[in-house]
Parts: sequence; C-alpha cells; structure tokens
Amino acid sequence: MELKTVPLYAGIDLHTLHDSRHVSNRLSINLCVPLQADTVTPYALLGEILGRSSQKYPTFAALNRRLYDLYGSFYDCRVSSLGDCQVLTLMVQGIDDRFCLEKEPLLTQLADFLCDMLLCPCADQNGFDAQLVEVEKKNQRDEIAAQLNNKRAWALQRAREQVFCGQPAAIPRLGWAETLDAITPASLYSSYRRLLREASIHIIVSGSGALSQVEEPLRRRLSAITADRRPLSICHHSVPTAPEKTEQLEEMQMNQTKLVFCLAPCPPFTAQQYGAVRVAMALLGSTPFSRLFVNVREKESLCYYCDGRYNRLNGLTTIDLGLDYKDCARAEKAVMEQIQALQAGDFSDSEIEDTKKYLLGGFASMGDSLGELDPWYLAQIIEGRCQSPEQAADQVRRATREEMVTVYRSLKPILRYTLAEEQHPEKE
Amino acid sequence: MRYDRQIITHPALGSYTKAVLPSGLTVLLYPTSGLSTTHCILGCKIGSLDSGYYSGGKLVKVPAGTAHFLEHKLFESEEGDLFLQFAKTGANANAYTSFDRTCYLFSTTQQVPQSLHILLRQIQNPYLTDQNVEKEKGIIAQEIRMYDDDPDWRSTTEILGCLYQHHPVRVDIAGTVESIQEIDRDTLLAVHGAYYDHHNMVLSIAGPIDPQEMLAVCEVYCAQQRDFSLERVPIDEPRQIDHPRAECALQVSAPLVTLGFKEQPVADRYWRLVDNVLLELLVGETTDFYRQQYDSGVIGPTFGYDVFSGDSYHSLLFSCETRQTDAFVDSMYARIEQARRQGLREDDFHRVKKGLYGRYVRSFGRPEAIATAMLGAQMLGGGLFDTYDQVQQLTFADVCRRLEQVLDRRYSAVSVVWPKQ
Repeated sequence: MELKTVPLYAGIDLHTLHDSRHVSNRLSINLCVPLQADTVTPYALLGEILGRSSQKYPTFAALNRRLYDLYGSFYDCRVSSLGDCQVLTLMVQGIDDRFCLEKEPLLTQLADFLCDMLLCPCADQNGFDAQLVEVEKKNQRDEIAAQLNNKRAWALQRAREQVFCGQPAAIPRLGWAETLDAITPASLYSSYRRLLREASIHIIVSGSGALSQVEEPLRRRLSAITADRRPLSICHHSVPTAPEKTEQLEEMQMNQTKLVFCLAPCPPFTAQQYGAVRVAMALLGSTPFSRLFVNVREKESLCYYCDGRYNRLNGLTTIDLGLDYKDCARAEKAVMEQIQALQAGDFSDSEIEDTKKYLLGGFASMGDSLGELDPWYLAQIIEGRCQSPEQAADQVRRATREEMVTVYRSLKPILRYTLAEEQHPEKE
Repeated sequence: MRYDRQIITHPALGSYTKAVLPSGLTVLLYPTSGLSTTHCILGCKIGSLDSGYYSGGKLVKVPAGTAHFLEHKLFESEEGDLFLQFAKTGANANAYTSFDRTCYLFSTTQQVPQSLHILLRQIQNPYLTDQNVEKEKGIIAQEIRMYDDDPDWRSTTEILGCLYQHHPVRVDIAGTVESIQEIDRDTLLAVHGAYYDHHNMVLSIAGPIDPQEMLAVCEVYCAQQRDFSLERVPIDEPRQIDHPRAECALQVSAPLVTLGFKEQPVADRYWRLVDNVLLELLVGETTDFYRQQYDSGVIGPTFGYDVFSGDSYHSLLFSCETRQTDAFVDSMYARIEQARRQGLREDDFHRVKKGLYGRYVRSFGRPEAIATAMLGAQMLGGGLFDTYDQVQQLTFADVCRRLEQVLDRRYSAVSVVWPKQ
C-alpha cells in the first residue's frame, strides 16, 4: 500500500492509500496551522462548531439522520496538537460501495458530506449562528475544566506545561476558558476564514474504494477557498527544558498519587536515530515486557502501570506511574536504576530482538486498520517526512545495541512532577 | 482426531469453522483474506458475578475480585511473565475480566501456532506460589485505587449499587482493597480447578489463518475427554431496586449524573438490540429531544446511554456531566412519558436500522472485532451472523412494544458524582 499525493491547489494536497482488503473507506480533511496562543482557543471551538452542524444539516438531529442514511457512517471533528502544530480534523468513515444495499456511490457521498461540513457552516456574513456559538462555548469551557477528571492525563499535562514553559508545546490543546469569553459569532467567523486561508490542508482518503473518484469532487468543492490562501509553514521549535524547580509537587483530593518523570535528549535525536529510539523506548517502558513493567510493576509491586513514552514531535520522554504517595521514593529509585542499567548497556541481545519483534508486529498490523494508517501518515506529513510503516520497520530492524546505548545516554532528567493525594497520612 | 466441526457461511460476510474438541473446548476460526493481523481470544465463563459454586454439595464462597485476580496470575509462569514468552513470538498479549467472562488474547502478524501453544499451555497450568500471590495484591490494589479516581467508573458502580439488592453486579469487578486480602493461593487453585475446564471455555481466532493448522495445535491440548460439571450459586435478585439515590464526591469539574432503570433479564439477544434502537429513538442524537436539551444546556457532549445486559441482569442507563442534575433526571422521565403518549418516529427507525447494518459490516474489517464478536455470540449461545439476521428482523412494532414494557420509573435510581469542594 503506497501513499500517492496529488496537489489540488497551493497548500492543499490529496493523499490516497488504496487497499482492496478493507471493507470501508475513510476520508479526513486536516487543517494544519502553527500552534499559537492567540488562535488555539477559537480554532478548538471551531472543532465543536463544525462537528455539530452545517447549512445543509442545521441541527444535530439532521446531521445524525444523514449519517444513518449513509449506512451509519462515523463522523468526527476534533482538534489535536502534533508538536508545534494545531490540527483541525474532519473525518468520516463508512462502508465500501460494494456493500451498499441499493448500490449507492457512498464514497463520493461521503466526500460531499465532508465538504459540506467544512465549507458550508451555519453562518452568514455576520458570523456563526449566535445560539450555536454560545452553546459550544459552554461545552468547550466544560471540556477544558473536565481535563482534571482524568488524573493521569492531567499530571502529564501539568508536567509538559513546566518543561515547555513559554513554548508552543505548552499550549493546551483546547486553549483557555478565559479566552472563550471574548469570542463572538463574528470573531469566530473571522477565525474560520483565517483558518481556511492560513492552514496547510491535507486530505487523506484511504480504503478499498475507487479513491480517484473523489479527486474531482474535492477539487471542485475546494476551489471555493483558493482565492486568498496564504498557507503558513509549520516548524517544530519547542524543546523540553529543565524548569527552575526540577522537583515539583501539587496536590489534589484523590485516591492515588501520580508520579511523572520528564527526560530530554541532549543532543536532540535525529531522524536517522529513530529506529534505535523506537527500540530503546519500547525496551525502557512501552511494552508489557519492558524494563519498567517487569521491574517497577512486577518485581517491586509498586503500581499498576509504569510507562515510558517518547514524543518524536516535541522531543520529550515521559515516565509515569500511579502509586501510593509513601512509595514515591522507592519508585524513583527503581526507575532510575533501570535507566542507569540501560545507559550502561546492561541489556541482552534477546531483549533487543524481542522488542524489535514486538514493534515489527505493530508496524505489520498497521496496514489492517484505516484508523491507524490515517493518523500515522498525518504525523509523517506534519513532520515533513513521508515514511511508510514498512520503512519505519526497516529502520527498527537496522537498529544496533550501540545506537540504543547512545539514545539512553543522551536522556537527561529535567523534571520530577508529583500530583499527590491531599491529606495523605504520610505527608502530615 | 474425530470431533464435531461445521462451517458456518454467510453469503456476504464470509464463513467460519466451529469445532468442539474432545476436551470440550469450542473453537471458532474465521480466516480473513488479505489482512495481516491474527487476533486470538481464549475466553472462560468466569467473571466477577461468580461469587461462589458448589463442590461436593458444599457451598464454596469466592471473595470479590477473585476472577480478576486469577486473570492477573495466569499470565505468570515458572519461566517468568507470559508477556516475555509472547515477546519471543512477536505477539502482543493482554487479558481482561468482565462481569461474566475472563479473556486472554493476543494479536500477531507472525508465528500464530507458536503463540497459540503458549496460550493454551499456560491457561491450563497456573503457576501460583504464596509469594507471587501476595506480590500481586500490591499491583491490584493500585489498579483499584486508579479506578476509584475515575468518575465514570464510580458512577457506574454507584448506580448498580442502587439498582441491585444482592446481585454481584453491584460489586466492582476487581473487588475491593479489603476483599483481595482474603484471596490466597488455595482460593485461586480451587477456583481455577472449578471453572477453567475446556467445557467452560471458547477459543476464537480471526485472521489470515489456516483452520487446519489451528486445529492441529488445539488437538495437542484438547485430546482428552473429561467430565465437567459446575454448579454456580444461583442469583436471586428481586424486582425491586435497593435504594433510589446514591451520591459521592470526587475531584471532578462538574457533577456526573446517571439515571438507571432496572429491567427484567432478557434471554434473547434480539431484545438487547431492540433496546439499543429504542434508546436511540427515544433520546439519541437524531431526536429533537436531544437537540432541545443540548441547546438548553441540560445535556452536553458527554451525554450517553447504555444497554447494560447479561444473562442475569438487564439495565438501561443514561448519563451525563451536567450542572443541572435535577433537570436532567426530570427531562429524561418526561421524555419517556411523552414518547409513550406520542410514539416514536418510524422514519428514524428505518434510518437507524440501515445504520446498524453499515456498522455491522464495518466491523468485519478488523480481525479483533470479528474474533471478539464470534466469542461473545458463542458465549451467549449464538453465532457470529445472528446479529445480521436480527438487524434484518427488527421491526418498528417490536420497538414500540418494548417501550411499553421497560423504563418504569418505579424501578429507577439516580447516582450523582459531585465535585469535591
């Protein structure tokens, strides 16, 4: 399966991935802009607005009736942060035309539907529908507040904010509740026009259908926004940096403490190292037989999860676990012992091979899932590369022990962040 | 080796082999063309609902959380963690426990027979020592504490506690930090001996497999005929709910409210499908009710409903994060009454039916979905393609009839997870 790219207009590319093995087709329109403090909140709000209605489907009921008519197709509109890039994604996935009971051309109907949602929102020259904006502002405010409901994700987010302080990667995905207050239907419409002007637009169409069928309708529909486009280039500048206080503690009323270690590579990893980085990080903490899983969870019996992850787009490695507050020091000792052992090259050839097998299995199975392939290629495109899962697998195969040791040795701890249970007896 | 096997075919969706081996293990094999991944699940009919069984006429009580504890321990062998063995074959393994089953699974693109050998060998041979059982308590205690901070989980636990008086569905799948202290090596060995018999298990595999090759592996472990009998403690649950309201507080941003209706258990899976359609037509995203409540801020994007159902329990749940907790509950009751008076929309029924067909077809794109559905259907006494037939058979009249039978306010309860001050 090979990604084929056709430029439709300046800054608007159509990428297709055809594979006859699938039973469905997936289309995503991804609007990519630099992650910026002044636009993050309104652009995130646009995700809510464009996800719920359009001129053709002015109510959520009408929209969902249409989706049922399209054989229960799944539609989603969401905003994400990838490195220093904010992405607004409109995505629809439905069964392939060959399964349609009335032989309808579902794929082209899905393309048309997606264009309706992006290009014909519930708005006029004065701005978006005022009631719609008010309702979605409230929902976004609630969603921002609700981020603390997931304590693990909250602790990781708080740690990221410290190590990327003042940099784009610290900007929260949904923006800030305070900024929402100033947004009006008219200002939001201006933001929408600006997004259409300044975004690099990547359309990814994947599945078993005759994907070329959607090129002409997409080209025709998108011609409406080509007049004054000035797509912004996307660069990834954020670098994880040790904050002034490298040990930080916050408290919350909860049942389990969350401990996060942030590490940064010094010097930063290069693209040529990615194969070794993948193997090294998986062996450290991303598999159920990783060093952290086996030693911190299984041997020490300290926690239910202890994961190590590396984010290629922002360069940050995190290790996080949930445990009793009283065990934090023991856990830190156990984690650091594993890192030091790996830095000393204290790992076996069979551990390397097992980890490679695990990763290669993941790459090989990726082709079975449109839901994995689409985001994979989007991340590649945003990173400025276009590596296929097969090419990434080759890089993993070639990774050597020496390269892995180099990866481990370049990792420097920059923050220990603890989100602790309030009123824990051990702390009183 | 001689044993029952049959090929079950659907004209549009393929075919699979069903075999019952001499040991009693039911094996389901769905070969996919083209896809790279094989997904394999070995399921055992033991879950958190299994609170006890009879052995030699005597009742053996099982501490809450035992099925889940055993699931953790069966991934450990004398040679070390089972994950390490699966790593050698390139398989990605996992396990989970639900109310009525425990499943062990792996996904892989290579060496499927080798991984299957590991799975079948290990699950029959638990490696339990006093030391490794004690060690696991720390890990499971942290898992329980993690869920204690999860508002959705807490809300579900609270509402089930309201609706059910004695039924073990009201107890957390993992048990409590206290109940797992009662579990020791002997408990686990006894429960394993009682439940982990091949007659009580199903193996389901979907992917680019050769069924003959898979059966050859199974035959190694399933040749021996065995007698099996398991008398579970019957669940005697009255129609009445336990209490109408529960409240707790967590560090969350907004109240999470759940309205639950306790229904009579349904034996036929068709009625679960009918109830799903009923809830969609009643309060789903195609309804004007949804839009009105959404626009007025009573519900938001977190609103959802669920048909929560098993052999011995059946509940219909509605939940949402909302600051208007009373208005949410009142509006749901009012909507049910309104629908009973005015009826449901038949045009939407046909839409939903068409959508169900599409979603069902879409699930055949993933070996994981196929294997999971095949196992689930078998454990409930059905087959993989039953859902297709049930969707075809769905009638609007059945949905309307069901509305008259369920969602009785007298059997409802409310749980609220409040934000801590």
